Order: sequence, then structure tokens, then C-alpha cells
Amino acid sequence: MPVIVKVNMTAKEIATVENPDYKLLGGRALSARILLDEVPPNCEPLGAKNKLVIAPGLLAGTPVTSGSRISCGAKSPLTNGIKEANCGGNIGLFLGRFGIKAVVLEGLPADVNAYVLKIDKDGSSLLVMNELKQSGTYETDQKLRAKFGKEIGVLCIGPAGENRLKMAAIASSDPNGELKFAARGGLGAVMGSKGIKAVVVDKTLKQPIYHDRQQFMEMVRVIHAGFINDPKIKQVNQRVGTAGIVKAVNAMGALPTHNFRQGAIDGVEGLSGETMYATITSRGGEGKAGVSCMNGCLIKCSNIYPDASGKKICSTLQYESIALLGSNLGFTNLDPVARLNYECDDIGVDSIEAGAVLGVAIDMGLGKWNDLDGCMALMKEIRNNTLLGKVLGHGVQVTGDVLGSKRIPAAKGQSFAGYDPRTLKGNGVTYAMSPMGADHTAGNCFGSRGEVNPRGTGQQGELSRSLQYKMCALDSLGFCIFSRPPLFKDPNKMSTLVNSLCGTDISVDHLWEIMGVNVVRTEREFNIRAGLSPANDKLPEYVYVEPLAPTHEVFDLSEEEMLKGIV
Amino acid sequence: MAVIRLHLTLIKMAGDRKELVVDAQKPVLLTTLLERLGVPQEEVGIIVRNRKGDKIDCMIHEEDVVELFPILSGG
Repeated sequence: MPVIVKVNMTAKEIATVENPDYKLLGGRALSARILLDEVPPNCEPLGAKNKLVIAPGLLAGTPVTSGSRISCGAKSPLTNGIKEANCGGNIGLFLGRFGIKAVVLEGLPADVNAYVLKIDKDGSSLLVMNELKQSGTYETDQKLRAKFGKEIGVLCIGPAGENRLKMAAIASSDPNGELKFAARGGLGAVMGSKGIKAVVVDKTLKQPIYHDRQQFMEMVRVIHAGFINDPKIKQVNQRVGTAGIVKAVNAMGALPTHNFRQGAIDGVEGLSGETMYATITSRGGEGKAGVSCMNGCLIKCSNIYPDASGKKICSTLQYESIALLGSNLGFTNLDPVARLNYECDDIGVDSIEAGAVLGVAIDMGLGKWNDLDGCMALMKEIRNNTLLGKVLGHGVQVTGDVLGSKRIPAAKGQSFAGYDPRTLKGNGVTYAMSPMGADHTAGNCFGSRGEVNPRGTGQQGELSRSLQYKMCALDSLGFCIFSRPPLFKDPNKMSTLVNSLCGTDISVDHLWEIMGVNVVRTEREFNIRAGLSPANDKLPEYVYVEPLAPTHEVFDLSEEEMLKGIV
Repeated sequence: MAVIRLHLTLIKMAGDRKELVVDAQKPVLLTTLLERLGVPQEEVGIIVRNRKGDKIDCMIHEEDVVELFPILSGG
């Protein structure tokens, strides 16, 4: 039976436990369950009672494409509620192959050492590696690869996590030696509070135990054939990745611009996925589009963005970072966005939250729009953990409060993602009503194929609600949300995978219930017990009264419509 | 006149046309225009008409600016 590895950082003890009740739970579903079962919801997020759950999705370790994401969950220092963030990389695959359902970091160390949790064929152990202290994520990853081998899976934090900044992220190494981020909610600060600088998992060729391997592999072949034969994957995903939506969001008037003062920017072409792809291919060198962030992923939406000489600036440049670090800061060129993106990645902060922080800071007079040097100077404050850096590093709500802003683009303490809720109202429902706070991955209503008018006042609650539990199911299984269109077209494929892996006989309805509905309700229960009452299910007041140029929309959904967004 | 802009994979489907101007003095169904262009309806994921999301069965009027995108989702 797959096991849970519990690492007590107070006693420095490691135990391995089994729990048959968790058989069908993975990723986000498992972390929600463990947190509600074991963590007092009213605990201090950076205190001894909180736990960080690192859980690969239920399908992790199997060869199904885009299905071995790693999920991190804890009580968030940013929202003060439950939070889950997931990303690609190698580690989910390797943990799944080792038969590890979750690694749970608990307690607080009395010392100030930097610990590395090492997991390999012989078990788990804690190593002191103080030479990694205050290292950036890239240096940390490189040092760990030099010590333990190139093919390891790594989860690590940068200086922001060690300094317990509330927008600290957790980095995950991918097959190309690049980093992906479980970025939202400040979970890197929780990892830092446990004294864990990194988790290292050896590559293994072990295989999960299948109930019916043949049936599982047959379904994998069907799914893979669908992906391979989908021309959009090759022509869109592998060229422009998530950046393919920049112009669409701008055209709708929902692109964060100048600290969410506008929903569109002149010169959007310079930020578009098309420009990104043309730049990558024309500059050559280390630049590359169509890169996998997980072994065997067929979507390959990642990229390596180079400078004019072909040297890598960052990997990967994607939509949310382009929106928050680009148009939101007045840039219409991808080079400064890539520079800021790298800085966020290496310090180990969420690029969405960081973009919102810089936007508010500039708006309140700490900088200028379209000014890379000014933005980099503020990022340096965060890296160096100065007093100003601490303020900025605690996220957009703290930054806005300290600077006296009346326009803080946040819900439940977490910054909006790359969609202004005034013109994509379904995402306003998700930001306000989801237990995750303002996180688009909790129920992104963008691109719902014209089912619901994005600026209409009806059907938004139901759309958000439906997407909240369906996206959650993907998070629980370990699937990337980019695999949503082909999988949602025939969800039986997902239930067949689960049944042939686990020996169950669940229907699609059961799958949505177990992996989606029940999980979001568990999260909501945690939040209510944590003191995040329904009174916290709201957006900042300015979006209700300040018309957003150029559409002049305000957020005008009724209370009744908002309540429909509760799962 | 109305302006129709195509993006990403839809450009190739429309015979490498990125933008076209159509006479819409008499309002015309978007689906009719798509048929003329050779773009299958099911390939159009996002329709933005005059900065507002719209549906596949919308009518195109004189002075409209319509942006058409394939099925896309954010990351």
C-alpha cells in the first residue's frame, strides 16, 4: 500500500505510515483531508501546529501524459485559510513510483540549520546543508544536482521562503534542469518555517502497483493518441503556450494594466504569445519553445526565453507572469518581463503576487510604469530582506495596507491573477468564493467557449462553481489544467484510469464528488473553522464602483449570484 | 463595414488571412462568415465582439470589430 512519510522537524524523526482511508485521495484531495484531520484550523500558519503536505496526484508515477504534478498544501500565511498550489517537475513522478502518497512536514526545529530531506531506495533521511542558506533557487538546485546526481527531483525554496515572506513559493526542478513553481499562497514560507530548504528524491524506475495494468495502459494509449492527433497542441500549445491568450484577454478588456486601472494596453502585440514565439525562434541559442515540464508530457507548453545573444533569461515565460509583471507594470516588451520573472523565480516568490505588489507600489509612488531598473531595485529589497523588502515580500495586501492604497487587487489576502474580475465576472466569483482566494487555477472561467457572457450578470456563479470542483479533480488526480479540454470531453477516461489503477468501480459522477466536490467542501470547512467566515467571501470595494477602461465595466453581480459559486 | 480579426490556428484555416473587412450594412450571422472563410465553427473558442465576449450565433453589424480565437485556456 502506498505510504505517507511524516517528518517531525521538532524531534527530527521520520515515520512511515499507511492509511487505507486515503486510498482514493491524491494531490489536493489528500492534502485537504490531512490538513482537516491533523491541523487545528486556527493555528498560526508559520507555527508548530501547521503542516506542509507534499502530495503527488493520485495518478503520479504512471506514464499518463501531464499527470504527475506535485501538490503542496498547508494553512496559508497569506490567506490564513487552507491553500493548495501545484506544479510540474520530476518529483511527483518519482514519489509516485516510490509508492509515496505524501510527505508531511510537521513541527518546528529549535535550531536554525538548513535541512534537506533526502528520499531514495533506502528510505528517507534529514541532512544538514547550511551551505545552501540564502541561496537562490537556481543555485540551490544546481548544488543539489552536483551532489546527488543530475536526474534527481528537487523541491526547494529561495531566500524568500527562508525569510518567511508571505508570498514565498516552492520551486520544483523539471527534466530540463529548469524550475516550475507551486507559487500561490505563500507555501514557501511554511516550508521555510520547518527549516527545510529542499526535498530531494532520487530517480527511480520502480512502477506503481496497478489493479489492472493492461486496462490502464490501453486507456493511456487512447488518451495519448488524442493528444498527439490534436493539431492545436502542436500549433498553439507548443508554440505560444499559455501566452497564446494575451491578445484574447486584452481584446476582452480584462488584461491587468497599470495596477488594474485598465483592462487593455496599447502595444499588446509586444507581449503576445506570437511575439514570444517569434522572438524565441529568431534569437535561437538557448531559446526554445515546446518544452515539457514533466517527463513524457505531450503538451509541452513551457519555453526557454533568451536574450538578444541567445542566452537564457528565464524559463518559463507564461501568461500570468506576462500579465502581472508585464502590462500591469506598463511594459509592452517581453524582455523586461522575462528579467523580472527570473528574479521572482530565483528569490522564490510567486510572480503573480509579486507583479501585483509592484503594481500597487508604483501606483503609490514607489516607482514608475515601464521602468525595469525601478522594479529590479524593489525586487532587490525583497531579496535582501530589508524592511521595505519585508513589506513587499508579504504580498499585495500588506504592501497596500502599509502604503495606504485604497485599490488593493486581492481577495482573502491574495492578489488577483491575470484577469480583471470586472470584465471576466466568473473569475470574480472564483476569486471571492473559492476557499483558495484569488487564484484563477481554482476555477478559471476564461475560455468557456461562449457558454456564458463574461460580462453578463447571470450564470456566473454556476459556471464558477462547476469549474471549481472540476479543476479540483484535476489537481487531485495530478493532471495539468492544460489537459482539461481533451479530458473533459470524455471524463470516463479519467474514471477508467482510476478504476484500473485502484481496483475501484467509480463512475464519473463519483469521481467529481470524491476528487472535486468533497475536497472543496473540506477546504471550506477548514476555512470556516479557521475563522474565515462567509464575510470574507468578497472582492475589494473599488471593483464595484470604479469603471474599468476601456469597457467601463464594474463588478456588479448580485449577492444571490455570488452565493451560487459556493461548492 | 465590420472588421474580423483571426488569431493563431484560425489564420491558416482562413487561407492565411489575419484580418478582413466585410460589408455588414445588412447584419450577418458570424456562422455565415465562418462558412465563407472555411473556418469550422467548432474551432472557434473565444469570440470578442466590440470588447465583449459573444456567442457563435451572434450577428455582425456595421462598425463591429470582432476578434476570433481558437479554444484556449490560461495556465
